[in-house]
Amino acid sequence: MNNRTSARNQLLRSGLVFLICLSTLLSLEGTSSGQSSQDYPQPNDKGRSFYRIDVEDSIEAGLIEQQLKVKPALIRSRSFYYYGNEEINQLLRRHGYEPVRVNREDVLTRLVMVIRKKDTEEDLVKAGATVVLREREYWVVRATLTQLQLLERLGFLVEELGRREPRHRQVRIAISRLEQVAEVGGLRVDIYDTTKSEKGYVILGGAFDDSIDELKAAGFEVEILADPPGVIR
Amino acid sequence: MNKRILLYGLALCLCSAQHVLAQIDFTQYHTPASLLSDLSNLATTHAALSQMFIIGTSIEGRVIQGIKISTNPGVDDPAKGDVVFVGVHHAREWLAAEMPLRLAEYLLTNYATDPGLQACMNNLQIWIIPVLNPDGYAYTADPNGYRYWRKNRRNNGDGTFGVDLNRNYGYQWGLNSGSSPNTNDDTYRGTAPFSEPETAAFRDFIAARHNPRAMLTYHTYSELFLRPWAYTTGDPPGEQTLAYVAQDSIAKIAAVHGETYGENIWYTSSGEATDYFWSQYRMAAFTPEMRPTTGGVGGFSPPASEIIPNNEENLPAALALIKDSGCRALWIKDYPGDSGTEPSAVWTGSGWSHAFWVSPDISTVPLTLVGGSTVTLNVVVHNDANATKNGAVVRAYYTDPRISLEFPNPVAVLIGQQTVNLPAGDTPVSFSWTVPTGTNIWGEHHWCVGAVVLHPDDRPLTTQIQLSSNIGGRNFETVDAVAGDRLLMVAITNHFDVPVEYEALINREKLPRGWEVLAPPLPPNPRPNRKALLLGVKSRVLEPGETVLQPIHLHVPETARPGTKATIEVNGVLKPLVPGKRVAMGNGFVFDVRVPNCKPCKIYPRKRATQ
Repeated sequence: MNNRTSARNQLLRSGLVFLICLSTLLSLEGTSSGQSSQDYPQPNDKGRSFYRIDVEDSIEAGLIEQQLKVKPALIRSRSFYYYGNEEINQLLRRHGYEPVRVNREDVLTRLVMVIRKKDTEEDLVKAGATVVLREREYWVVRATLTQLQLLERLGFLVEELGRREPRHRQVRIAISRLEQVAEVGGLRVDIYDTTKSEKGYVILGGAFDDSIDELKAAGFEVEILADPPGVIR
Repeated sequence: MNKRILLYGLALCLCSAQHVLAQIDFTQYHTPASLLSDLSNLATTHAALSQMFIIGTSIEGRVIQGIKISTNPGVDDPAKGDVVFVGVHHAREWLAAEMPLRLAEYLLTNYATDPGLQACMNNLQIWIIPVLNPDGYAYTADPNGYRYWRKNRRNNGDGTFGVDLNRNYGYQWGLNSGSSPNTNDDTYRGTAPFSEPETAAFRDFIAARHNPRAMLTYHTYSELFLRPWAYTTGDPPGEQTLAYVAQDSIAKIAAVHGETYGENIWYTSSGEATDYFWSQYRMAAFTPEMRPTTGGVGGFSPPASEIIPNNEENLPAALALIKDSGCRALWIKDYPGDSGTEPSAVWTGSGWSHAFWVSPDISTVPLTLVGGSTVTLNVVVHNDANATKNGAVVRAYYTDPRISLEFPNPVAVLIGQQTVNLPAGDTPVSFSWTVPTGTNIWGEHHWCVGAVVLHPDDRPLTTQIQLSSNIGGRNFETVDAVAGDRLLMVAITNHFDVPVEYEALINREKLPRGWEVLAPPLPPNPRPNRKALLLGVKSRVLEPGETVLQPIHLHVPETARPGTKATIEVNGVLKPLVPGKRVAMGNGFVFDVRVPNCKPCKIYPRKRATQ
């Protein structure tokens, strides 16, 4: 085989690989929209149930993971959630814990798009969902798997976000005292900087709409600024 | 033909010379690839002094690597101090990658010609990791990514991506006041402490270091120089020490281009890196939030023309930390044979390698103290530099001596502070001290004095006596400490903010034949501690702030000859109940015991030079 033939074959092979990759990507793209909540990706936990134990703090959680090799699926407040079985539970009981079986669909949440039709945001909230972003054609909401199933039963059109990662809004928040910076941070604002202004101080940061709602409810004056380059809504 | 080979060889030589001499281009931001390439070229060019190292891989499988700078880079030398510089916990903060790279270049290109730098670097292993979050960094540089991305790139499995790595460390993780439980938020802390491979790798990397001294974790922006705690507005143990280093660093930064960094960010961050490393190792850890001061989200992408001035002004602060970590000039002895080495003592499992609470550099005139009297307290400070150190500050404290002492500590009382010029050699610095009239917590006139020496060119980086040559400690008794026949007492206080395991070990090596000393186990905890159970700890656990008294029973045989003397050394150790490497802190007491010339004999134990 001469060099030219070899190069041509190599090119053909590369092209074939590219087409296979492309079709795989396209097929993945196709599956990422319009899923029902039953199809939402789940952690690799087949055959294991979801449990909770109470812990004092994150140090104790770290010790459980290190000493007992029980990996937390989620730690929220003083609750340590894990995928377990009777053997793991016995081990934990020997160390003074009381495992409680819980329905993970009531605990774990997902972020999804809900396409705006005739439904109102109030209906979403009634179903227990948190509106994270309000966009012109859809909402981005956070809900437990149980709540998502309810939304679907109520007729909401729920879709996976797929590659459309939620981006927070740029905000300017007016405060009168520097001590309020911590309060703003506590409402999940990604604080970039704080500068002095005529009336007090101004915080520039990033926040989602649920956080902005809470800021406003707490009496803060919030101005939404233009998105930086690269944000597609 | 020969001429051609010669010319070709000459061209090669010129090329390689150019490669050696070429400076890294900081007029433009590096790409992730060019940053690694420049770092790797530095290591290749300066192979005798540096070596690339890997601490782990990111969630997307990228290698997290850095450059180790040391005179023997291929050897992990336990005798050397470890200083760490890390950048880009947060992906969008590109200046935080440029600064560590510049530091590496500066150290490697100036080592050969700067004897001062050599002196300090020769005692250290300097570890520089420009990018801890390579996935996020790559995402911010990807045209299909997002320039202002902050977190790593974990697929949270719920429709969102990313965990804020600087909210994922294991100390005070999970507080809503300084991080978010919501996966979409930029301050999302992760499912659990150290859930992320990047933070877990960094934790394990530091835990594997023999002698962690100091750390800078570079961020942008706002022009601040932050210190622990981040999770609360309250002060950490050692606040004075940390504040001194931070303020001094701020002055060094300002001296370059006049940019005055602040000290307060006004909000809290839980699960943050510097909190973890200060809490776990008393490793001086700071967060420079570099240029600019303001700018909204655009503040994370300042023009490339800011890179060089930003590097220039942050370099002196980094070099000062290196100097403090590796090049002590001012020091106070911890024990008679101390040569200023750090650490001066380590826990061996059967006691401290040196009794570090018996500094011969701290003494009083008169020697015997009486409550309420005013004495002269002398502190000898050694200056090993060839030049006078002007404007050194010497602080002296006294405190009730207990196991778990550090200076300054929350209960220490400042005797005095003096600003002095210290010529080369030994200089005594004198204080007037009115000895307390009351008693300490177990009713004795027994006090510990600690001395700390500070200088802008020689700063203590921790509060632990045995970890810092700038700190010395010694105890004084005011009268004979008669604790009762065959019963001695030792106090232990947990000054940490986590529960600790307490253990007392008696050094019986210096006991005469037939003598026996027992430290009976303290009564068990009123309620079992689950953390202790998890760690299999059987000894007494002290909650934060708790003080207990440890009785020491002394048995002297009937046949003991009058005039017999013995030394009883009690080694106390406190080990925090935390996951990972549990660093022993503590202290000790030395009792001199003499058998009086009487029949029947009473035993009068005298404490000396103890704490």
